[in-house]
Amino acid sequence: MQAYFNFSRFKKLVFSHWTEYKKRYMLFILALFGIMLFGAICLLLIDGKYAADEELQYALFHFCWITSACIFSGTFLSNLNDKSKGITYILLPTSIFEKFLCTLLYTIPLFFIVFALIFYIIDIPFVAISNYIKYQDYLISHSINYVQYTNKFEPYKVISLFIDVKHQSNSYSMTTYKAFLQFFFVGLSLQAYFLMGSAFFKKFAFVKTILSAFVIMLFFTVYSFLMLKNNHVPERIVDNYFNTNPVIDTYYWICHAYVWYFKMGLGILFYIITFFHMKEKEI
Amino acid sequence: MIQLHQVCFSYGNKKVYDSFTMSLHKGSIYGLLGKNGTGKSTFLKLLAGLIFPDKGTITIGLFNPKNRHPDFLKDIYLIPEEFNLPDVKIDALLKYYAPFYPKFDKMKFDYYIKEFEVPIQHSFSQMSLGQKKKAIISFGLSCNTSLLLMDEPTNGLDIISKAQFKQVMKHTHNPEQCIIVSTHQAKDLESLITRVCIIDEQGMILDKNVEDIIHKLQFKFSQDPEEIERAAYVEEYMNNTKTIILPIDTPILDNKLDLEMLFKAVVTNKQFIQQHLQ
Repeated sequence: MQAYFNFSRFKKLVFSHWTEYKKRYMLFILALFGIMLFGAICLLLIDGKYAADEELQYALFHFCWITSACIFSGTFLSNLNDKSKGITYILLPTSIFEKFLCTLLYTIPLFFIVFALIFYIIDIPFVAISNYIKYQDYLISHSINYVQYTNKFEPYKVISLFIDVKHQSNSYSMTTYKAFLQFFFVGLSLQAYFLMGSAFFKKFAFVKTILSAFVIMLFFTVYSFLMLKNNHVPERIVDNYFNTNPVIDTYYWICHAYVWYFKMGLGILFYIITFFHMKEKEI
Repeated sequence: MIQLHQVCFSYGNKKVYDSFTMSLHKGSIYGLLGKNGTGKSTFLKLLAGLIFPDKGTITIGLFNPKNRHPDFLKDIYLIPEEFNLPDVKIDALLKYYAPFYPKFDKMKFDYYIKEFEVPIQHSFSQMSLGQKKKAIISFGLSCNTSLLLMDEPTNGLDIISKAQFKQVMKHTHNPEQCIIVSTHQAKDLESLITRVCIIDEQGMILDKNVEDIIHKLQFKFSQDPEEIERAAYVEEYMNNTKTIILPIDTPILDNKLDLEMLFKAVVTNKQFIQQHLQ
């Protein structure tokens, strides 16, 4: 067991990693903060009174998190493809499992926490300013048409990442617990794919990862189209999950499991491939 | 301590090692010489577990380098030709990286850093290549690992630094440690190594103790036609004087190894030299 994981060794690895990369990470955090702040200001300038709508806040949270997490992960293991850095990384006296765990620690929980902090630092004043603009608009409208505008002013709320499981909105809403989890797991899978790309591609890893993702998606699209066209799979065979008029009904859990595999399973598969690539990497 | 058994390794179609067998022992400083592309760096990488043999086994102590076991990694240090140091100051290097090596000796490190005149107040990005190289050599030597591998350690060092390197290396003798130094700068190693290994395309063509070599071969200047006739290797020096390697039967005092000449002799007159060193 000591050969695979030792807490004291892991702690040393986490701190030495931070020592080595703190400048780069601080710059990344500053850049992310700057871009998100710029985006928030643009939204307020374009249409301030609708800018802090809860649906839009959730959409922005997911979009910004997934994009920045993919960029961060997409360069994380690039050391493995650099001769001098790779030698130092591989020969650092820790197990590959510890190096992999350290990678996961920085790219998933730590990144998520830092991102959420940046988001809230911007989002709280952003919502307040948007509410102020909305309230000014409400006052003007109310004073002109005081008879019609008798409804109470409803300010936007800062979104919560701890959504109540029982919270129900309409099925397409971004504010539900289910939607949040869907985006979260899709984000993790994409992150895993970009991490894998950073370990595999030698040069321009990030661009090559994006291109390879497009090639894979294109392949599956064409494959699915040809499968249906050639009637290998009868049309409308699947259950209500995908089709409102199925030929054959299947159990719901089968479809849910199928969707779960794509949502979570792919991410896990990418992480496993990355781990074994790290293990077998030769420099 | 280190055992390579029937090791085969190739880069694509280019064979580097074919059924290569060798043992290396602790308490020695090996000087690894060879022409470009004969596999000196490959040899060090195989020992460090950075690349894996196609066939055969490598055993270092109880470990197979391929497994990259943490206990193996903490007892080996490689100073590569192209190296990377984190952009930190020396004290951060000591605080965050030295603890990975349980036998790390801080006093030794301070001594080496002082001897090499490495500016401790600078971070590595502010240092010159030579200063960085001296810092990584100091760190590697202070780790006191059982196996220390150095790939072209004197590349990038100026004349003074090379002298400092020799000075520092003289203080490193540790009977529990095996040091392998691969280099083209044979002159830099002459007074340091205890064993000479020469590699060519066929594998290891010479693996002898320095003591044995100087007991059987004499390195000298000569103008004597009879001596020149008997020499295993002759090289023009100046004014009819030649540098020669002469086979001898009895040890001679003040016979100093000329590594560069030995290397050239082994490469050009392999069988003759090998016969005399039997």
